[in-house]
Amino acid sequence: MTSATPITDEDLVAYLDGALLPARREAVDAALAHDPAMREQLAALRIDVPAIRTAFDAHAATAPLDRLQRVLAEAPEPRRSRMPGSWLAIAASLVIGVALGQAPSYLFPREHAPDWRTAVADYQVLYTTATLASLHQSTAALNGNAAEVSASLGRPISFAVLASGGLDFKRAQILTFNGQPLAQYAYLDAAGAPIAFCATRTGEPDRPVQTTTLRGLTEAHWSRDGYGFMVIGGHNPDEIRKLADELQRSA
Amino acid sequence: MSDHAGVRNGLSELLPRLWRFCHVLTGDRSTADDLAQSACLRALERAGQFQPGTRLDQWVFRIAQSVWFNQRRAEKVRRGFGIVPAEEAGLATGAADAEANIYLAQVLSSVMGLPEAQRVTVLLVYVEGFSYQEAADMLDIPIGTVMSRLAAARGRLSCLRDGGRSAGVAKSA
Repeated sequence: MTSATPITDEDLVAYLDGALLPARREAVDAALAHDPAMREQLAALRIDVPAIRTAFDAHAATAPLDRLQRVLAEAPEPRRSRMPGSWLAIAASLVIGVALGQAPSYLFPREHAPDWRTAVADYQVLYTTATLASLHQSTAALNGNAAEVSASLGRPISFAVLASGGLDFKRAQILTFNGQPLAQYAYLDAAGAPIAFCATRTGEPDRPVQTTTLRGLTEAHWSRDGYGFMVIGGHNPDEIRKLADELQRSA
Repeated sequence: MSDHAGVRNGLSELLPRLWRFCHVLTGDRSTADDLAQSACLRALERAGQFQPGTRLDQWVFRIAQSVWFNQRRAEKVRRGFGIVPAEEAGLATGAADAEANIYLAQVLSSVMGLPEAQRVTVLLVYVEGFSYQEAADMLDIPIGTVMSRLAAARGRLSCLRDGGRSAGVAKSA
């Protein structure tokens, strides 16, 4: 059966890489022994693989290690531990709290950001005017871009709404957090400060707009229909609040 | 040690390879710097999802790839297909064995000149040493596509034919 299957370039590559199964390898050996054209075909696929490895190993040594090591060193620890032990501790104290008729204080956190908002904030602090200033998409392209992202998010947020806040709407992109799509709509304000409007499915109950500070940035967030929303960035807390209020009414 | 600290330590050792992967993916040095940085941050954010005992390099490369695809899809930017100048690669800088360095710079430029899909596959299989199946899993493609990309890449890298070395270097030197 193997002898009936024509030998392809892919077979020859696997032959050169020592990745063929023994039966197929024998078939290639047999063909090479009898067929000069096959030998030429093989010769045309031979390359200097060790040199590629050496060249790229030398290239890896030119990586900007100082900068990347600094990023690692300065990246914040996640705010909430994912260790199962902590959940057990929380569950246990919850039981005790309920048994004693007390409301545990952490059920009504003063300002405990869910992880997704902290992650967005960590990302947003890296944005600068130049990150977005060079993006010049046509209205039609932005419209399509926003529609694609909304479709991935599973909640329609119309372009008209996104573009109505008086800011320069630059880009929509889909990210992911804990396996859930996270939509990010990026803006520049009149002063050139980057602002992001983000949304993801959280399953949380509806909540009105609240304003806070995350990673040094003004942030406003709310929940509706099982989705969490946030607006973050800029230099003017009033602007963030105003944009959040507008989006909350229509998005 | 927490998940976060474990992933952070592992990432620290992986940085040269991660950056190299990003460079091959993006075809552009400064874009690679930014992508490697974003991939590090994303990996740290998701440290709790990393399964200890599995390979951190594969996990982080997949994260870098997903960040890059999302970014590119959104920006509709088509980068790549760029040739890395030899001087930028830092290989042709008057070392003792100048002739070998010229050849290696030529190798690097040739591979970086391949279409993105081919050069990434070449990196994973021939430089990183992943099996066809591992590369297929990391790139979310069938194993047959890995093989056809390698065949296409080999076909294009005619300057790296066995025996091409002396001819190529003789001309350059």
